[in-house]
Amino acid sequence: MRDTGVLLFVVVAFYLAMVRASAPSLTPPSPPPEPWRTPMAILLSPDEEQIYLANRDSGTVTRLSIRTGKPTAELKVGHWPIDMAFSPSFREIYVTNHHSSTVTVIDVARFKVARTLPVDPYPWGVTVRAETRGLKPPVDVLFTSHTYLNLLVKRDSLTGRELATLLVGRGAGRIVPSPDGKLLAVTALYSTESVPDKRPMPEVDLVSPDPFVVESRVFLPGANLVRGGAWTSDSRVLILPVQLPRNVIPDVTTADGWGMGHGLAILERSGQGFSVRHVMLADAISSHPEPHHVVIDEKARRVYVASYSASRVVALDLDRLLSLVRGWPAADIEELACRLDLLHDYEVARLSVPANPRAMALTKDGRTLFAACAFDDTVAVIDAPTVKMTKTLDLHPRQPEDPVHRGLKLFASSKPWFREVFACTSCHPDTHLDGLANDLAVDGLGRNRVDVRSLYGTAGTEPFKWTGSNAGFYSECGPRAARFIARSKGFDNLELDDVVAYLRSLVLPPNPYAGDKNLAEAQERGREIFFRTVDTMGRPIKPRDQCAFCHPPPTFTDRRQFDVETASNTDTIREFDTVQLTNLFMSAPYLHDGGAPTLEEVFTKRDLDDRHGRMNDLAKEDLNDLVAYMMSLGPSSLTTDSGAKEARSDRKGDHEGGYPR
Amino acid sequence: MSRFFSCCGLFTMTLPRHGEPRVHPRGSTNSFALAAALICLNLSGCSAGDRPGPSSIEVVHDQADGARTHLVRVWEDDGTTKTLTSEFHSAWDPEVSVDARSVLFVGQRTAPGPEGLYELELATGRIRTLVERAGHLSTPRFAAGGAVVFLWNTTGKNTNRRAGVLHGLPPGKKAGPQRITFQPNLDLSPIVAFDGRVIFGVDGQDGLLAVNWDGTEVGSFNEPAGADGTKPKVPLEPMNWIEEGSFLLAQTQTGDQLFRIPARNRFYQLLAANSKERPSGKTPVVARPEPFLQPTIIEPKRSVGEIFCFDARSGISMPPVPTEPREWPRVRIHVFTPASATSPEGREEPAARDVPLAPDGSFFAWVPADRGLRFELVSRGRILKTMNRTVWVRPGEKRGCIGCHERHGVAPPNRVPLALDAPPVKVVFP
Repeated sequence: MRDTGVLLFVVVAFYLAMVRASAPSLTPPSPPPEPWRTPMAILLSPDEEQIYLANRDSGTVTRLSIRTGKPTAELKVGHWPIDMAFSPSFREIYVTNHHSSTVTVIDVARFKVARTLPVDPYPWGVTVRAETRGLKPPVDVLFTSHTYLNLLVKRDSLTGRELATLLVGRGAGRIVPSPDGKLLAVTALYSTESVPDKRPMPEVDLVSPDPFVVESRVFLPGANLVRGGAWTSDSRVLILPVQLPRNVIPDVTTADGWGMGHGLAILERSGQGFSVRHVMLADAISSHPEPHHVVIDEKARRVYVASYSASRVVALDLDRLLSLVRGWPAADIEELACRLDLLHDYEVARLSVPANPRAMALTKDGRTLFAACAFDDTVAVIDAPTVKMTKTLDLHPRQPEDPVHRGLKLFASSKPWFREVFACTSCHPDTHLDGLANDLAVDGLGRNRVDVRSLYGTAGTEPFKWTGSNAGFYSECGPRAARFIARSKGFDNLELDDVVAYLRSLVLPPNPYAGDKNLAEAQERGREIFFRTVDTMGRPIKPRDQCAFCHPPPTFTDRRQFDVETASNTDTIREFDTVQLTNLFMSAPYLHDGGAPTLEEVFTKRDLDDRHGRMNDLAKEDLNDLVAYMMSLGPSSLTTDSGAKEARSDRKGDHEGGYPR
Repeated sequence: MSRFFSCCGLFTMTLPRHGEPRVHPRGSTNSFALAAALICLNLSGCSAGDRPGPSSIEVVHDQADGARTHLVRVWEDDGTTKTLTSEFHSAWDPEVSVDARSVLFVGQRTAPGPEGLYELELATGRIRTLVERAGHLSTPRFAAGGAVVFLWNTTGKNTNRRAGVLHGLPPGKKAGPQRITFQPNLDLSPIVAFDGRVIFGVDGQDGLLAVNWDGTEVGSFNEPAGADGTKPKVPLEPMNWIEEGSFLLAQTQTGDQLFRIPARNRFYQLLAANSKERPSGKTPVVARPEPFLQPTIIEPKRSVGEIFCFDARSGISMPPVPTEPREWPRVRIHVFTPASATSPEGREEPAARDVPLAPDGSFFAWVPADRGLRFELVSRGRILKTMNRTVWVRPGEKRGCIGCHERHGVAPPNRVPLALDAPPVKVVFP
């Protein structure tokens, strides 16, 4: 009887399933998905009625009403808007467009583009201040930082014309003006000097805006990826979020601060300069990885930190933090930067927010904190005193995520990893690189250090790893990597599909060294050197010593492994995968161990015996031309064949996917 | 099987139709309601042992023979009980699985007879044997990825049932139990943290140790002194996590002192011995987050592991470094071979090995795997300091430490130890 009942049940269930499958759809077709915005910067209007968001992926700025919680307007700006600043009058907003090398100036009242200023390539930080310069009334002067030129540029705010330039730290990032108007703190992503077996040392340049000089360069020993911070109102203390990596020591474990650390750099005026202290944003069991932004509320004596990959906002006690660092003996500041048992002293609360808070803004009364959540297209509204999220403001209606977007969020999330100490973006910020070489224990302790590579445009350049031992993205990002590098289970199969979909979607950003059509003269000369088959003395160059033999267009890699005697004395591996030569301007340092800070050194200090191509016959000016040509290789190179068919080698071996688009 | 096919049928009803995106809500409300009703009907034939409602597992003494104990499930709403291990002579040490569907326990089917480790499925009452062997088994715990850790005591000493050598059953539980600690002292009362680490006490030693489910990454769990200076001088044993894993409750083995240890910074907080935080002895049947799984990196074919240290001299007042390298300080490594069939109590190898320090105090060595290692710092024939704890490496494991006397709760400095510039010193024993 029971079996009959069960059989009847099965039959009914299948019947209902077939009926449903054949029934016409009763729900209306879904609207096409909105493009993802990815808010990266946030401004609060002085009347605290509006929020402005710079949206990286849509190339727009959204104006959002706080009262209604809804977007009221959206404006197209340039490519990859990444930072914003109000003019001193608050009548204009200046937006740096990282990929289109422009600054868009928005008329706030009309919410229209007032003008677009051409600037140097890859602008990041922006600030505007009023200067009298002997004129009445004062005029607005624009300052922009440029990541791959390492420049801070002072400009005419109406035309963008360059007024003066200063060299700042490598990977110039945000500009944090002091409240007293006397200093601009320019942060740097990368270490000023890059040496594979030395800890990184980025600088923060404290610049006087007028006269325009660097007043002091403050080095942050052991830090990296210094991002947007905040000053105290007396302009005496600057707090910056930093990474505190452990890249030069073998990653034998990810626990207890071994694999990666994150924290704050606290700079405080001391005599003529600034003292530096680092504190960790981690304890014995948890971490606040990738702090991206800091906001200080002096009335409440709080510091708010946006932990990007943990999707968390953390509130710290300002007084306890300052008391800790001020009371710490100067002789032991290195130990302070390593202490995992102190966070509880100054952490007040931690709050989970939607995906990846990137920037924050606080109301003047300190009661409400807004966090731009980059990969959820939302703004988290946080009651600051209680550190509780009250609501989220959506930039568009909620929509399902496609695999690429899911992969992006997984890539930027610390959740899959042990104690959430890092995410993929910890070494590949914005899918690029952190400028460091790592000692991976799996390759031998103290052996075979490897430089972090950019992930832009890697589809079609398989295999991966400097040894070429990973056939494609699935092996690069799959269980083995998770097991040996991250000591975690990593992504499940569906998640891995999404991550791979995301990585395959990454294209090369624009190359400012590549002209629209023709190469410049020096680049053309360099091109001839690159594709030459005889040396300067007329002798034939063996195919294996010709540049284009291993680096044929369009990706300038033959995807094979060779020993060109670039191994160092700590390497046991000698054959390395031929690297693609696209967008070299943004991927220093070079070689497998990051041991060549410049391309010149690749062919000089690291190629004394002429084993890395026939190079030693070149004069310095020839080398300069070659470098100029190599610097021009980028997205446009992928669609043109530079006419070097004769140098192509046979390609063997499997690969995933095709050549990049 | 019929239940399986019917659930498949119900599942197909809820699939999105062709062309719908994967993340769209699956099925209409009406379909869901019908499916839910049918599922409930389908599963209504489950056993009474899985009735809903908050419940806990208690260890109850047999009324006729007080030396015997049974596991009894008690429902809190109406106080009904169900004896789970009536077929066993005795059962104790229950541990509820993370999904609250099964219970690990130690039991004895007959007396006399071997003790065993068993897993009981609450819904059906079926019991599966995981391990049965001579000696005392105790304190089974579900670890990360479905692994199980437990104590096994064959020494005949310290018959406290929460003492033994930690063993692990790997995920899948198909391989036999493997020893995961390699020290001469017995391990005490393991407990699993949310990050997958197994925390346990060590007989005769202060504080607590932590280790992965596969025996890798052994290290100290705690700061040996409280913020107020309280320093436990007796072996501790973990009891349970409180406040959603924020604090570990631990007691001295004699039970006279109770400590509350914050997981975040691990300073001890001494509580009153009769504190209400002391566990009740009941094991709630409630699901909890699965401990984080760190996949094993053990290379079974290797017989050594690798260890390096930043500065073996740290925290020690050192005499001036001699000019002759052969007189430089060195680390002396004593090796303990754990118990085996021929050596029930294990033995310390008669000859220790010396590893010279680099000028910055670092050293790098290959050491025998799966053996206890104890370090001494020696200089000019004098022992300057002895490391009290025994540590170990698993086959192929690579370990690093900051120093012999580093403060716990400190991340390593980001600088290359000089010893890594040279090949490792190979400390090998037959």
